[in-house]
Amino acid sequence: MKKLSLILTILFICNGVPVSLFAAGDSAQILKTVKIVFKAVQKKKYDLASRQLDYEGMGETVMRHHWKKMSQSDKAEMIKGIEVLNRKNSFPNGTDMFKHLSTILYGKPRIKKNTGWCKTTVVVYQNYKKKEIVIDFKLNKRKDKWRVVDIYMIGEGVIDGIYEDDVKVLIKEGGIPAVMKALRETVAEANKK
Amino acid sequence: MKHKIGSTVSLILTRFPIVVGITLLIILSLSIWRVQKLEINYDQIELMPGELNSIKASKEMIDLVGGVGFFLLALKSDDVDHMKAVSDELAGRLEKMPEVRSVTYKQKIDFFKERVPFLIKTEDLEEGYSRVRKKIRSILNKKNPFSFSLRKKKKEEEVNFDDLIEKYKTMNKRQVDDPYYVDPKKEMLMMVIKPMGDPTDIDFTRDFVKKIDVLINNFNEKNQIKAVLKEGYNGLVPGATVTYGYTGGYKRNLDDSETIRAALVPTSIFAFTFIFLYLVFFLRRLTHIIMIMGTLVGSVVLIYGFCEISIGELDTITTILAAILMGFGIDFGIHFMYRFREEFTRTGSLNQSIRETLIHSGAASAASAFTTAAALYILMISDFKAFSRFGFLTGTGILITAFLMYTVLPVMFLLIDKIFPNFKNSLIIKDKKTLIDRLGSIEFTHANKIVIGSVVLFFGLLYFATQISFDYDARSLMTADRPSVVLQEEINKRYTISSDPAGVYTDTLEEAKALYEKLTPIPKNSTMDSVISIFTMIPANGQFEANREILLKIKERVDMIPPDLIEDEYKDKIKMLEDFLKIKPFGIKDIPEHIISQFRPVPGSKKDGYLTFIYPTISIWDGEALIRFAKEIGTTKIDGNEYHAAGMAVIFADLAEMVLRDGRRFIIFAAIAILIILLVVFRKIRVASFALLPLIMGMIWMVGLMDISGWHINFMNIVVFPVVFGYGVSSGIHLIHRYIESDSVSIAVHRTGSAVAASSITTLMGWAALLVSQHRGLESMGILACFGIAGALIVSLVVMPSMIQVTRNYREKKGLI
Repeated sequence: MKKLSLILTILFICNGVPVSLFAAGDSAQILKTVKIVFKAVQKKKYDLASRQLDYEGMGETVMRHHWKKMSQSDKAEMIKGIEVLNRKNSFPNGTDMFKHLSTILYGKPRIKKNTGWCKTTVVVYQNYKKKEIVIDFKLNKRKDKWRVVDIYMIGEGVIDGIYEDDVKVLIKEGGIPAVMKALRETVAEANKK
Repeated sequence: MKHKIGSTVSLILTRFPIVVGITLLIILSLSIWRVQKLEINYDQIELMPGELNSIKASKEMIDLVGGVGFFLLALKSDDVDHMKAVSDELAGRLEKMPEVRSVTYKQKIDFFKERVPFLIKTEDLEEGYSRVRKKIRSILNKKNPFSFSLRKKKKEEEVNFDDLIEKYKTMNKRQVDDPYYVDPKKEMLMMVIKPMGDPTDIDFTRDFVKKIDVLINNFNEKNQIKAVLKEGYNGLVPGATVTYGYTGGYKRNLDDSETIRAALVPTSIFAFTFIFLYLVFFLRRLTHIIMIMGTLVGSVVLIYGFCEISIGELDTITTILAAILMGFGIDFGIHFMYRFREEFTRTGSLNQSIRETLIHSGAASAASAFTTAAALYILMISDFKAFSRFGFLTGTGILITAFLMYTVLPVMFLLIDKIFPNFKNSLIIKDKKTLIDRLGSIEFTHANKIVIGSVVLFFGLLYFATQISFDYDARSLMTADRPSVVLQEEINKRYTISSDPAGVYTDTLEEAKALYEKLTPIPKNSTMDSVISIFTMIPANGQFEANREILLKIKERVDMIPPDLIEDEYKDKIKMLEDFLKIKPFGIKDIPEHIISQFRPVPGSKKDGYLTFIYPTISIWDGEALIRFAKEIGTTKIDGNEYHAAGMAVIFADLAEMVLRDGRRFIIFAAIAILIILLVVFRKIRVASFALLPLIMGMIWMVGLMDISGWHINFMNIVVFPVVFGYGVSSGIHLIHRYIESDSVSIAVHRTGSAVAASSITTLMGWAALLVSQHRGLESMGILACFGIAGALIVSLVVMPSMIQVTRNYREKKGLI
């Protein structure tokens, strides 16, 4: 009986340990990814920042259930387009914001299966005023790598919001072709910068 | 037989003229005495069959809430606070009037205001939540450096909540953001007055309006708020601080009856004058005309006396009895006089002339009177008392008038002859032909061509006759731009209500709930706009919890927003949101008494149940839509029980259906009755058919011409059909009688045709007077009658004689005669 309970205890611990080890590993990865995004954007290393983003996941979020109906070429174009928009718009805007960066506080990542969250508080000093901006990063684990798929502020995701405000309207007007057309136009405008 | 009867009657008249005269005078005196007791009952509900569910329910509703319908006093001003102050002052004075049961012009709205989010549909609140999120995103997108968009937003996509606020600004047909009954633009304030009397009691309403006028005048003379009220229906009246107007069921009923009354008086005078002048021109003898008109007036008095004894009162339709009877009655007088003069010119003897006139023209007039009366008596099968009484009185009146014309006129001549023996020489016809005589001289040498042309015209007009439609719109019967109607339409638009609601009574709260659940949610394409019940004041099952969840989600999001990002206009609303979240679940027992009382019978009523109000989407003027509304909600069956709706909408729907059903039945039965009588009179189908020609062809021409000129059949002019039936058949009978007597088409047309033309033209003039009426319903009656009578006249004088001539020529050719 004693032997049995010892074996069970060891097994229990062994089961728990890998999970917690993995969890500890995932948390660290999530934190690492988020920190790289901040630093890369601050220092205008957009290639590095770009590699931390899950553009395919962003595409799936933007298009939701329509993603499955899209052709491979459209998907590829969408992924590329989102990357361009991030590089041309989001990253430079982020760089501007981080000019007055004081500190970034990182919360403990929350993980549920292959989705992780990391709440950060960005403290900025501008015109002698302290501003705290809470940004909640949402990450996906794809091929053992955690990448950012969305950014939430006040409960609203940037990528998630694009579906509600833009894609829904465009789908109603002209289906997926209308979305692709709008994407091309926006990308073309961004490329002019 | 006609010889026997004619001879007997002429014998009595010639032997005992004084006795006959005195007897008739006594009868006339008695009639005059009874007529003075005659009253006009404007209560239209009393005319409907009592066993109708809508009538029973409406009578019950009168007991429950003190009547159906309201008297609306609408105030308009560009200063809403002043308007409210005026309404406060006026309400105090109105409530002191003994004729006023209640005045409602404002309500406590706190109960609704505190609970609005729990009373609105969950899906609308979800939509609101979705827009809150959209609004947050739009704010964030401006602040979030990482945000980007796939398209440029259009200006109209800017988030606002106006449509949702607008949708729920009015709940249960009342504004919830203002305790006063003001419209959304705050330009009008409605004072809903519940008078003590019945909306169909015109005398009551007339007095009531006068008293309110006096009240307002007194208010203008003495008030603390420097208010000057002036009545107006087209915008604000200059010089007035508040413009007011009257409308509602009570006022509209009053205006309707007054308009008809006002229209009838000038048209009656117009008709009487024209007929008189026409008779002067064609009969040329003023004394004869006075005798005919005197006899006519006497017969009208007689029938009114008869009405008082048999029915006891007149109603809105039988008030036009005099005009109808004068139109019919003059025909008998003309036919008598024409034949009487002809006979006297030939024989020189009064007694012989009377005998011959009674035998020939009298027989034709009797046949015509009986046929017309039979057609009118058919109306007595109608459940609508206005029709059945109209048919009974008019039919009897025609018989009485025909009888009097052929008794009083001979007696008058006989009595006058005793005092003024030369007077009878006025009966001698000079050689000089009148226009009518000239028309009667036409020979029918082109009978074939006339027949062919008539047949072509008949079929042509038959096509148009089949296209005629029924106009269900009650507004087309009214005076253009009647103030109460104009104001009612303005109110309907401003307050987005379409009509007075129908009310349904239930004995218990459980039945009221079952009824509410049966009627809601309102199906698509329903004629119901909304169902307002005590259960509309509380959330549906599960709605409170579902809505509270959404409010919590909204609060959660809003709490995340840094204060500096919240626009000022939303800060008050956030406070309201916090207050809403403090509200506990509520039910029937939490509803304040002043709200519950709207759904309960008045104190003193014999019942203690609950009322549910159903507002229609359709207009009260649209008869067809009213019928659909009544079909949908007239009776609701739940668990073996029936619940009947009450209100003017369902009553008018029943009335409309009754008129249409009886109208169709009348045409069929009248046609059968006329045919039977004609067969009895003439004994031959061929002869009876000829007698019917002016009627049938005249009717087709009438309906066909109406369609071509854009007129429709409606609820008012449908009663003219039996009148036109009468004229059509009368013309045919007189001419056929003369043709059989003389065996000559030309003589029949020459002699009797003149009388037929004269009588038709005088009648035409009478009905044509209605064409100048302001009341469109009366105008449409005039148009229908003129087309019908003119058509019957042309057929009588031209087509029928031609057809008889053609048939005669054919029979002569075949050796049949």
